[in-house]
Amino acid sequence: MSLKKLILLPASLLALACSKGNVEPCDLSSGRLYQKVNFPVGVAVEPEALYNLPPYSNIVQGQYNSITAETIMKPEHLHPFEGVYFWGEADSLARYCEANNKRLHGHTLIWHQQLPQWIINFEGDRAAWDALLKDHVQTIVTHFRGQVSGWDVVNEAFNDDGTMRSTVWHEHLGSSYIEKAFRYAREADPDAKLFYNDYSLALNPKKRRAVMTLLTDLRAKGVPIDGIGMQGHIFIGFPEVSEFVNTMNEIWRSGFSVHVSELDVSMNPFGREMPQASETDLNRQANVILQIFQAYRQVPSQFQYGITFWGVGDADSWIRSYFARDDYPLMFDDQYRAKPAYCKLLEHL
Amino acid sequence: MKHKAVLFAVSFLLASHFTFAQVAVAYYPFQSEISISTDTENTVWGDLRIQANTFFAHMNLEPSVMVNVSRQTHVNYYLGAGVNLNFFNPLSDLPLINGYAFDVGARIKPFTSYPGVQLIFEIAPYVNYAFDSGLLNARLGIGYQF
Repeated sequence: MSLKKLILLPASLLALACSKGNVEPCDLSSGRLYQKVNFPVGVAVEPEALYNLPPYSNIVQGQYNSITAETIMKPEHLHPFEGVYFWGEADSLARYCEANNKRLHGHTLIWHQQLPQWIINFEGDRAAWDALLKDHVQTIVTHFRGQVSGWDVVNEAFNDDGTMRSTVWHEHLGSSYIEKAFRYAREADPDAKLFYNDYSLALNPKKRRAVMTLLTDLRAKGVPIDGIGMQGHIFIGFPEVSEFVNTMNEIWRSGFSVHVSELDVSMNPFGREMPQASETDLNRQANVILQIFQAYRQVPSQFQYGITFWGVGDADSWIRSYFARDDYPLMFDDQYRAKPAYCKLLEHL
Repeated sequence: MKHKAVLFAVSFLLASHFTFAQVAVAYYPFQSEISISTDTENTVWGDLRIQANTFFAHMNLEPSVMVNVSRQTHVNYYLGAGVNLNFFNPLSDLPLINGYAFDVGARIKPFTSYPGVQLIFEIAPYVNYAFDSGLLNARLGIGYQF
């Protein structure tokens, strides 16, 4: 390769690289996001806001065709006391979904967080814990049979180093709790899609390897695992979109459906003071979300379960309270106005 | 802008074809990358990594310039720098350049009778286009110098 070409080539690339990429503003009347693609596009909701906050409900109603309950279908809400199940809020949400032609995704049956105190303190031998697990999973899944399209059966069972997370379930049942939870769920609802859900699968190869190895092995012996939820709590700078896409590809090539289950794109991972999002960061966020949608659209349809955003507007995001930091991770701002990410999806999908 | 990007992509690929007098190819299975290089025995050689096993629109390219800092009978050591880009990105008003890569590698020629066969080890730090995040890639590849 001649020296001249070596110099000209990168210079040309740099010239082409300068893409301002600013997004044309838009509003919610510009379109319906879920109609732009052939896979479900969902959002995590809080019923209080859904029923009482018109801007919030307008967005949910108009932009999404899949709903996940952000909190009210977690164990501490549905099963607050031993032998007692509380269905009220979740049943209302199920009725909302049915009335508005939205899919309902169940989150989550078995998790180490948001457990009721009585489960944490439960005393019993292995058989008693097995019975508890079976009753919990099958009672809930049976109740929502026909209303819930899919379940996050087990959530976040692995540590970042690829080892199994120490939870009350693992402590009393060993790693078999994962297999048991899936089998019990299938018995209760043969039609619902059953998912394993976790975070950092794209960011952490070691964790991803551990998850894929276990789930592939379990499925090979007949455990009914239909898909994997990549939570998708990511940042504008990492993981690289190519790593995210590679992970999606690995999942469906292994025969699992892919659900990008809790997508949000943070701008402030280090918790700096950030009273507002910069135009640069908003455009970067838009680029990341568009690239994920474009890649997901190419996943074979039989492996597409959908993309779900974890919250409606920035003010609803769990990130602000959990990490106590300024952040703007969703597609609509604090006043539920469309951000560049939403507009870019409408423009380019 | 979009049309210029596509035109440049075609021109680059065509120019590349006529630029490579002697060619080496390699495959990096853990990154799903294939590479086409100019003569890796030259002091300075060019390398083009192509992301494989992915969608066409996500076929990132990484052209790099490599410099052999040591050439021996059974191993060449090299340093390099390149840019990771995707020519489909500008079609969606996305940045052309994903990031920048640096390479420190060794091309081992284990068989005296078949010097074209190469086993490749690389440590390749990568930084995104905004310089606020990066990866440390480790590559193992197998190649052949024609």
